Amino acid sequence: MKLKAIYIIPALLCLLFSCTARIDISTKAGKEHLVIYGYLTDELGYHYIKITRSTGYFATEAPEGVSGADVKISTPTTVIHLYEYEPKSGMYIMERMYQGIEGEEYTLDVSLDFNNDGEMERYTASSQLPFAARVDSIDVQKSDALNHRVEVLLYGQLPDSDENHFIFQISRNNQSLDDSLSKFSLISDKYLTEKVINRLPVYFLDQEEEEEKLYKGDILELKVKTITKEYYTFLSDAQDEVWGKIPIFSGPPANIKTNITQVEGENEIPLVGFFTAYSGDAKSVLVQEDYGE
Amino acid sequence: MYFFKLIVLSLFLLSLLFTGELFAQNKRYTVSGTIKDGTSGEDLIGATVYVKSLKSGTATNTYGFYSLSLPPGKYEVIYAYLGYTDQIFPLELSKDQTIHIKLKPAASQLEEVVVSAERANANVTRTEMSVEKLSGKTIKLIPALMGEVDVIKAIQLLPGVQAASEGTTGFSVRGGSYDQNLILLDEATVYNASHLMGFFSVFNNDAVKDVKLYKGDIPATFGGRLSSLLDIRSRDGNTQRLSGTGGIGLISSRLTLEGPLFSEKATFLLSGRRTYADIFLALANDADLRSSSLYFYDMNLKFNYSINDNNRIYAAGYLGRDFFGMKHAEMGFGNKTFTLRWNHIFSPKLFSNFTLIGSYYDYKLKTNFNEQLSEEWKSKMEDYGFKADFSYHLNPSNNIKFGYNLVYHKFMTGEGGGSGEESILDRIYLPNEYAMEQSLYLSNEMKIKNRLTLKYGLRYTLFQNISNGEEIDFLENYNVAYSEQHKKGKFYHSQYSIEPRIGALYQLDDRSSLKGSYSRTTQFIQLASNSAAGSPLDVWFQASQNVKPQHCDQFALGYFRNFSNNKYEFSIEAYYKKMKDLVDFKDHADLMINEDMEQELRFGKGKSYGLELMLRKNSGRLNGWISYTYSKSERKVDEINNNEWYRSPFDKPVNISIVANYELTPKWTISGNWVFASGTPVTYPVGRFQVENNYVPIYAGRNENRYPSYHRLDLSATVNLSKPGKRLKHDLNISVYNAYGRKNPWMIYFQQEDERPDTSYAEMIYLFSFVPSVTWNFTF
Repeated sequence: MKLKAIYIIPALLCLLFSCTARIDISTKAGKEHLVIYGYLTDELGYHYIKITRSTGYFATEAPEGVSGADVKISTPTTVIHLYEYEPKSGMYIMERMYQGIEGEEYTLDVSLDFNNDGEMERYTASSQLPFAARVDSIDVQKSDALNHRVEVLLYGQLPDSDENHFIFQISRNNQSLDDSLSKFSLISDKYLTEKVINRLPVYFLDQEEEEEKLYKGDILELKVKTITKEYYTFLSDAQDEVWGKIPIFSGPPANIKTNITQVEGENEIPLVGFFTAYSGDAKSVLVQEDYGE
Repeated sequence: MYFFKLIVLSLFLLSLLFTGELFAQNKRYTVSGTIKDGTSGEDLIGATVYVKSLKSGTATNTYGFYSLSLPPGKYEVIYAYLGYTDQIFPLELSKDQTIHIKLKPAASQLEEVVVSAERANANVTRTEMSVEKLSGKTIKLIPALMGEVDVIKAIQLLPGVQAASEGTTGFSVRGGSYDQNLILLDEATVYNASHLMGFFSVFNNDAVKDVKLYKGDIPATFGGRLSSLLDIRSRDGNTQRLSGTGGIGLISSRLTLEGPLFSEKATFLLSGRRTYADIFLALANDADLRSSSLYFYDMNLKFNYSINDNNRIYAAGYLGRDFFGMKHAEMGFGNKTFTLRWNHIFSPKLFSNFTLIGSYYDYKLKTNFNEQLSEEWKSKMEDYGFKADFSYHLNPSNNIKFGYNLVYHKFMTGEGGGSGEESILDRIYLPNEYAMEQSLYLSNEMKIKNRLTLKYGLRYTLFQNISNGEEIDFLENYNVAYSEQHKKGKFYHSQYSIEPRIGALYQLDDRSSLKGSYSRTTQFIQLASNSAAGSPLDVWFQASQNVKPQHCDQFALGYFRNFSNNKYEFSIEAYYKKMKDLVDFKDHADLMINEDMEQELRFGKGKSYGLELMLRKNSGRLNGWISYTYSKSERKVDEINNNEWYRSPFDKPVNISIVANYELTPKWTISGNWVFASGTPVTYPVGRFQVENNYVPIYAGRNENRYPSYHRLDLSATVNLSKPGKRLKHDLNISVYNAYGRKNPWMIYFQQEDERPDTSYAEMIYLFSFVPSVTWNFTF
């Protein structure tokens, strides 16, 4: 938690004077980038990696998958191959179910001919699966401080290292309320004095927003994903770019750094994306009263 | 140090060499004194003293003092100041004489409207170039956002100056960053000149006497910033009677009281302003917003005492603060400055000024959304300084200035974290920064012949970091290579700069001249901000073992021409600026609460060049100016934009301002200004890729694109409500900011359609479309 709240007040102040309108702009088409993005977790499952081509910014179609790649994820003792799930989907799924192990280092290895020059390029990235935060239970209560908000309270224990990074995600009745990057709640515990968490509000649900309203009988689930510092930086930087730049607070737009490197291939391929491993824990609560207005 | 001494000595000897007539000339006597406004007793800055028979003259300094050496004889001395009636003084000079002059404002009301405040052809005859002057009276006539007359918004209408962002008081001069402007209020540095997120400046125009902006050719007397010096002098107070000025506007009210204290020798001025935006918040539907506070206030206080003809003391202070508070969050920030000056005239030829200066800026934030997450943050910076400035009128051909300046900087970068017993947030202390900045300067303005005047000077600055007692990191390739620890208070790192300032004036005739200048400026402290306009939460940081001072070399050439008996002034100036050790920040730099902030810095170089044209009409019923600027500003910084040159955020090639005031009748005056600027450079995405159901942009070169061009028309009308013979004079000003409602983008961002998430679109945020306001102004 890095006092990002301090931006809220001045940002609100600026928005008091502002209006919005759609605007047509034309941008030139940039070089096509190879996009490799995916992760494995400590949950047992068929984890996958997506390999796609970047598109022009104002394209109206989903990105095109890249087929024909040789994809594997390995540890010093295990190699797991991934196969394209559907032709031309670019989604490469594990050949078998796998559960990541805390502290284990995982290396992604991708070989493909992206630029169709007849020569395979090879790309790699590594990530150590962090130790998980433990979620003992969660609760909800009406916020004293913020009107129309319900606090989601966490009881649990954070990993015993100097600095941990998390994504908090919430779902109501199995429906995610924050399934897109722009809504992710990214948290660092660098400035927390306690590793044992007791009724800490980690989410504020707006009871004037239809999709966040809570009613008696709803099942609310909080998932705490413990992620690496590098992945936290990647998501945080990407989030800044998705949110846009407020002139008085933000720096200039810039590309997001990837942790994937090209290790073979004559021609350097423009590359974006990320590979990581993370751990997670989740708990649910049955909502006992109507909060929605 | 030896090198510096050598240069200073050489320069001084050089000046004596050129001034050989010092030893050869005949006996001369000195006439000196002050020139004041005959109505209020205010010192007039830049008023001229001219002896027509000798074609010789001078101008008053910032304290209204002048000194002129002449051979014995009978003369007619003309004292003049634009907007005032000339006074011709018959002088029989047979010994040194002191003559104090009081000029009366021009009788005709129509002629009273002046744009600049100097003698009629000062544009042509003064040696300095790249300088713009505005009087408080001129600034008042310019239509203003929400009726808030604003010094900085007014200077943004001058050639070579542009707003850093829509509506803000941050400004860029000749392609420089907004932190490269030294803003002085009565010689004290103002670190954040903005109220309300930058939409208004901290300067209350009622308290302002004189505004001078140096866009280059900065005198050796000043230093510390690369791009410009904005020198604002507050009024001293009416020596004749108690008087007041004030106004009631839509968002604020203001009142200034001034007058003599006990006798004409002492005066005071007290000026205050406060906004009441809170009233509008009370009308909001949202309960949180209704209970919010949003206001700023500022106060200026000045005391002036003439002990005798040779000694005067001034004390000036400024206090301003912004506050924004909600139920569980609040923020406050503000400046305080004080200046204590002693003017002493050692002899009619030697004028001195000793000044003690203090500047203070701080901000505080607090949030309390939950007891466990309750947090606060504060940061402050303090400067304490001493200046000794001397002006020696050696002879009619040489005017020497020299002095010493000391500033002690104390920056408390940040302290805060959890607040309250239940907060589980840690306390954070960023290391304090201390430094001592000392400067020596020497300059001479030398008239070689009637037509040619040279000025040359040198400024030497020594910047020394002082240990805070904690470990100091030394970086290599932006990573910590090793650390050292020094005793608290020890000077552990020193850097210096030698800054030559050279200029020449060649007067072609009474109406036209050519000017050229070269100046080197150095900046030892800078803002830790990579945003386009700056915010109150930005902190300053110092040059150090890891950060070199930034340097700028500026060359300028200009042609100045007056027409129609000095009614019209025309100037054209070309400049080229070359900057090195420029500070920028790496991509996605983390500048907020970062103990390792220096690792986020990247260094490089920059250049900017341009052409500025200005046509100005200073008097008459219709007055104002038209300015046109063509400019470029580029940077090349390590690790940014693949180490290629890129447009600086202030690269806006075309800039046009038209400012006009027209006195329809003695009762009605209308004013208008129209501005046009090329769009702000921006980086638009050239591609996208998907991360967690959102499209993340891919960019090509930095600042390759531009926002749509910016243009805006502001209009105002002032009706004079005063009744003849009454002491109360008042008027009503009605203005419209952005009269044709141009939607100038303040920010462009990208969204995905809700229904078609693979379709992206651009949306802009714009501010201030058609803002009307009414202000009632009065004086008594």
